[in-house]
Amino acid sequence: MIDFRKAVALNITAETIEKSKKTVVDFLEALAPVLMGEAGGNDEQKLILQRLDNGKQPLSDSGADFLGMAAALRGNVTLTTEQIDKISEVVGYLQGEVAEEVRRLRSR
Amino acid sequence: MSSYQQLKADEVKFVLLRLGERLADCPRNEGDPVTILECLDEHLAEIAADYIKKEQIFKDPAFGLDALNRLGVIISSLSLIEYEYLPAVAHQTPEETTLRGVFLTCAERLGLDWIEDIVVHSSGELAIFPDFLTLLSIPVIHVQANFLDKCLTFPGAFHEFGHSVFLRFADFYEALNREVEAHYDAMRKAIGPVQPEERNAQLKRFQDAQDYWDDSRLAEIFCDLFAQYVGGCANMISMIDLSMAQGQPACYTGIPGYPPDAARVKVCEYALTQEQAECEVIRDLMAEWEKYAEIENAGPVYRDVCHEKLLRRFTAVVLELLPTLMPNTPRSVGLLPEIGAATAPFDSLTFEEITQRGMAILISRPDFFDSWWREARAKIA
Repeated sequence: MIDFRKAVALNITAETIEKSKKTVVDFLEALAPVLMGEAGGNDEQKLILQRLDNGKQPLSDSGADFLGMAAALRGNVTLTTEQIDKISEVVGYLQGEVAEEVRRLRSR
Repeated sequence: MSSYQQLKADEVKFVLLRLGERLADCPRNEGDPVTILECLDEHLAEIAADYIKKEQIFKDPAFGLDALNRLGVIISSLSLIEYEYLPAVAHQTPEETTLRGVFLTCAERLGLDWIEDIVVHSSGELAIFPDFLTLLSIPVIHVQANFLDKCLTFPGAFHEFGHSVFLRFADFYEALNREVEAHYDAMRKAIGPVQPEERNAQLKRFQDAQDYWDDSRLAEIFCDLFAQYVGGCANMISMIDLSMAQGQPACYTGIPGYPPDAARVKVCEYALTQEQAECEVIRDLMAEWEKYAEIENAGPVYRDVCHEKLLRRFTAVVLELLPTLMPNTPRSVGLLPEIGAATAPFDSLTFEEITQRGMAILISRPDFFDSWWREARAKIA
């Protein structure tokens, strides 16, 4: 299901949304095993793991949640606002890191 | 009803407006970094247009954290201008203005033809901010206070240019990374018939050592070699100064983003020509440094990550690639000038010439350095 009001506000097409959903699914399916302790992960995934390891929820539960969201997106099931916020939260971690990186001064 | 989203969006809108005014207040006279200011004006206008286009989204509660993330992209772009560029361009001191011209012409001579403008900021450390959102043409070069009085540090400017070169050509990272992979593959293959536990321990050691060479550390090694390529003997002396000046342990491997000083000195040593390596000044200073560094007593981590074979390969691949990718970059293969040549009269001197002559005079005629330097500084091109 597509939230048409948001799609219009963002000026994006249904086709773009479908492509982006695949990107999100790939991202979540690669992240989940790292959170569940089944894979080492790359630097970005390790960063998300560190930020989520705050005692609010066991990491394995977060991993399972993300797998559930990925399955929902694959099945064309609309995610809840809470689920979307959870994804936005981890995207925010990465964005903060990118912001740090672009401001990195190279000393000798 | 108030919401944080709306509050933040309105604040960002105000910051955008004020930043535009602050940039407009920057002086744009001869000698000022006008190209950089125009580039920042252009980017700020683009960011403002993007903000206006998405303002309703930023304030719409339906977008929640997504809206804040989108706002975050704008904030980080603004902070780049606000914290990195504005302090550098707003109040240029006479020394910063002089250095801007010196570094711009130096970059051109060294073949960094993608650099259109430079701003120099006396922030206290020698460093570079090489790219503005992937744009390599307008770097900010940070220098220590009174940089031009610190002759031993001059080749550090070549190192900073190296960061721009490293980002310009991915080939350098790829080649250095291939060397790391090949080295540790060979180390793994060389493990003899041992118990599985011992084998696993060795495999972990080699993996940790391989992971040590991240892109930041490889960049530093490349930049040292770039500086060595263009600075020759002067850079070698400067590297010894870098290692010994503050008494830091040369083989310490724990500095995030930096290889041990000993490895940085050694890759430069391997890049010396035979004539350079055999000259008395370099031989004496290297011998003093070797005693200081005590590489033979380095710990196991240093020995794993800075194996001589690997460091020599780093030097070899960079020396091989530089003339291909940067054919206009002159390599310094000679010795420091003899005292007669160093003190010979001149109409003007380039930064590279001042580096070589200054180092030679400081070594051979420190009593004459002050008067020579006063003239050289006034005539620096």
